[in-house]
Amino acid sequence: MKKVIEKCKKAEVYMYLIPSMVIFSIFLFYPFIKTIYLSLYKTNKLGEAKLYVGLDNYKSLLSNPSFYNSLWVTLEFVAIVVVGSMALGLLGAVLCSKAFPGIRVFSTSYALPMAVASSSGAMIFKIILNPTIGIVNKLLHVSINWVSDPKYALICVAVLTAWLNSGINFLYFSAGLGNIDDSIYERASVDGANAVQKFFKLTLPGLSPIMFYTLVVNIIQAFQSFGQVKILTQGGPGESTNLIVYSIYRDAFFNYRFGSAAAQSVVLFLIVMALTLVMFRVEKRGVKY
Amino acid sequence: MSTIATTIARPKTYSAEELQALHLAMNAKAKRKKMIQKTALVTMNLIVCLFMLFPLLYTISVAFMPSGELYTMAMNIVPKHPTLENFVEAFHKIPLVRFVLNSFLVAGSITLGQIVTCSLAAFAFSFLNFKGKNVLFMLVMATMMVPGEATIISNYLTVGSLGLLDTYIVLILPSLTSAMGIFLFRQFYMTFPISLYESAKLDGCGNLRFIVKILMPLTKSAMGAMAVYTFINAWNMYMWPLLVTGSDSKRTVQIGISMLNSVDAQSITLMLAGVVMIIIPSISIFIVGQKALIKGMFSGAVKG
Amino acid sequence: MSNIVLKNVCKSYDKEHYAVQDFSLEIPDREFVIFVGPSGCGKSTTLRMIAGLEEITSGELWIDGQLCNYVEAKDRDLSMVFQNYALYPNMTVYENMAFSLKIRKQPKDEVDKKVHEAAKMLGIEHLLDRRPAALSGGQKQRVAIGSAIMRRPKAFLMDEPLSNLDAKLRAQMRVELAKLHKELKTTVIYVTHDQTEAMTLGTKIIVMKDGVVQQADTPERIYRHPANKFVAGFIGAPSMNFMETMVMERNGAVYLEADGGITLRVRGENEMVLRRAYLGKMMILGLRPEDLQDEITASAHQICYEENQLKAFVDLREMIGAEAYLHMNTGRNLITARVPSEAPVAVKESITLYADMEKAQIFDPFTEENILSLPVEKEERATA
Repeated sequence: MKKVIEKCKKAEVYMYLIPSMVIFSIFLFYPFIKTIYLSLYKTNKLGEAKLYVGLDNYKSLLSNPSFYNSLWVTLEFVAIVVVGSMALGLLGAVLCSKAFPGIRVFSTSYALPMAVASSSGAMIFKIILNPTIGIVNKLLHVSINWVSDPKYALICVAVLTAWLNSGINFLYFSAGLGNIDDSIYERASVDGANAVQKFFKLTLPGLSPIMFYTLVVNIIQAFQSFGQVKILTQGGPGESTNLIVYSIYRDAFFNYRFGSAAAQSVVLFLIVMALTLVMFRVEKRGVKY
Repeated sequence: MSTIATTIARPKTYSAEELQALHLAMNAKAKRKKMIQKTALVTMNLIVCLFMLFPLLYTISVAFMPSGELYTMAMNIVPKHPTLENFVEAFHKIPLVRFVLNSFLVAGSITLGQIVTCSLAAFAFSFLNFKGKNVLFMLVMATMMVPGEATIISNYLTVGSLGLLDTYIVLILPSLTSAMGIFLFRQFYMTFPISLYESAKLDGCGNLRFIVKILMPLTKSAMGAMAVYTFINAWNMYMWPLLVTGSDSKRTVQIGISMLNSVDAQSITLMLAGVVMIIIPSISIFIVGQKALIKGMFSGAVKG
Repeated sequence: MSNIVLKNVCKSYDKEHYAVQDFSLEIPDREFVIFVGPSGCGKSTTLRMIAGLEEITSGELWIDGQLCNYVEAKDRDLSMVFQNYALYPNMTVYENMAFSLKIRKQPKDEVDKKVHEAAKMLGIEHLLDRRPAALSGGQKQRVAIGSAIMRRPKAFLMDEPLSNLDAKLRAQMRVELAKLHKELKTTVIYVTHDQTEAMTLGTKIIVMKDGVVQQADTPERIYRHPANKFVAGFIGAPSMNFMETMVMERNGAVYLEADGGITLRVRGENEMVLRRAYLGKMMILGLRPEDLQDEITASAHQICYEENQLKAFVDLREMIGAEAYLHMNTGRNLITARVPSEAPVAVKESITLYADMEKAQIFDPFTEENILSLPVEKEERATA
């Protein structure tokens, strides 16, 4: 009897983990392995693995220019989004770092985009960028077919995504600025530094720990952008906005090539993991305090 | 003291009037400089803020525009004859009420569920000792690196084979826990000494009771932050609901609203009225919860 | 050369209450000036006004003959050491020290030479590659001072620079600061709440309370001739003893009579002051603990007269080392005496002590001002 109680007690410890672990297992660990498994098979239209093909799915990906295109487009997209959203967030945070009347309204505005859904944002941009009635063309006195022009489509989606992601970056950077000790600015004033010197020698380096964290989060997030592409460009025109996530979606749910889509998922995962690991490596060497 | 004041020799010989004038001039200059700095800061803020909010403000404006007014080549930022017609019609075109209710149900359940599962798991990871604790924790943290889109196909196939497509369960279940939530709560729990737990145990307090009566009240700010963040993200979910819902009765707002997108090309004003209505809940929750969000997310979790 | 003059400087945050009121002071070159007082007395605010970190509400600040009220901090050519050291966390010790020169675009080899010089002087050469997070409190302190002495500013401002150090380190740094001041030959303005630091370091001490200067003078004169009861009590440890006394005249001599049968005779100039206006009035007598002496010491100082005698009951004897503090009562008054530790004292018994009335201070009970004239004023009165 005593033994049973003891065992129950031991089991109880794991009880607290069960809800989370079950969900992780079903919806993360299992599908993760299944994705790898699927990527080695040819599938039927229902997504059932039918024929083991080894690395054929990967090989055909690597010989497919469309895949290279979507990799390249994704990298370009991620670069623009990360730089843009971090710059916007930083701009807002710096502008709100000193108290002034109405600061609450402004800081809420800068953070607000984080509450906007990617799909809503995409619909808004669709109207704003409309070639005939869009306000952007009217304001700039041009007639550019923004989302249907391969030259601009990717930039449009990227700008939209940068805008959506800038809200949370604003919060990160505001917190980072708040963590910088005020007295070092005072010392710098007495030492003879002007505002520009203070910004580049104290503020930016002072933000570097949070900057790093924000960079990682932003890159991971940018890789996962989907709703914007789906609504704004559907991967087009041509394949100019065919981001890897969208390409996965299209391969799986329009072309029913689940094997190929699974292989792309694995590649996506590998890229994100590699980038994350590299960044942590760099951080260990770069940010020393 | 009076002696000190009188013994001071003035370094340069200014007359009292000259001194007064110098004082006034410098004072005015300093004041002007300060005014200019402050005005510049506010102006910059206004410009950037307007730029950032422009898409939203314009959307609201168009939502009140009669559709005829939008289709001109002329500049039309503000509606000349504001109307509520777009909102009324949006309700007629699609079952918006249903979508909003669905979204509230889904986002609410996910929020509640995450708070429960994450605090339970975080409790185990911070107060209990068991075999494989570190390995399990590393595993949970590693999931943050897996982009959801990389597993979405397999997940779709799984729920498809379980016959769960187009149900509330399938919308809610996969999001019922999150590595970020576990991490955030654990970060907060770690700030409490283990003796807090031990003394509660000595007082005969069970684990569950300890979580509900002691940990949760102490971590209100973290829970508030989690709630706001999770709710907004759940409300804004797009890819998963797009894949797994098929009928109007289960669609969430984000999917439902894109139906307006394809109804007919003439109804742009209608579509933006719909967008305004579905943004309102997430934005209001954000504005109300902003303080809690900042306090909870940044007080313990993200510090360099 | 630098000459800093503050004239009627005031600081107010809400136009009603003053954090600093009518602060006037002339600081000649190479002075080591200490602002001392309890927390919230406005000493740091005054320093920050000189530095340009706080606006001056009214009054004038002159640096080398130039009105500096509105000159920005960066253009005042001062350097400052902060209480929390304010080291730049992202820079190494070397970069921290070089910062103020680098932003002035000084040639690299010159900066390098100066950094190494200063580092050598402070014994922190081996730390130059470290970041502040990897330093101990004392090391940070040295780096902060090192950064401040890189330039030859018009003055060094120091805001409680030693208050975050432990007692032993503080004593050590105090000595080093005094040495540094001699070597650098520049004005230092130093804020502290610690009267020991003030006494040991300063060539001039400004005692403040509630935003008002109480006394500005050399350490000796502040100690020997405190301007009022507050200064008398704040400076010196253990604190000065205060007793309420009646001024009486008997047989042509002036006595101070206190509770517990204490009668002390006042002589010389002090007697004249009392005789002039205070006969029959209640006054506060202030006696430093070392001016209450046991019989052996007193006879050595030739003050062993009955007219200086007082009896007290010893409550506690505190052994310090060479000296001992006697905590006693004379009925209503609690008093402390500082005697050689070998003096024979029995606790819980009465003791006879002798007061050095030459050094006694007498304060007005209402204004709390010292009624005995300071030597300065005597001279002035003579010339006027």
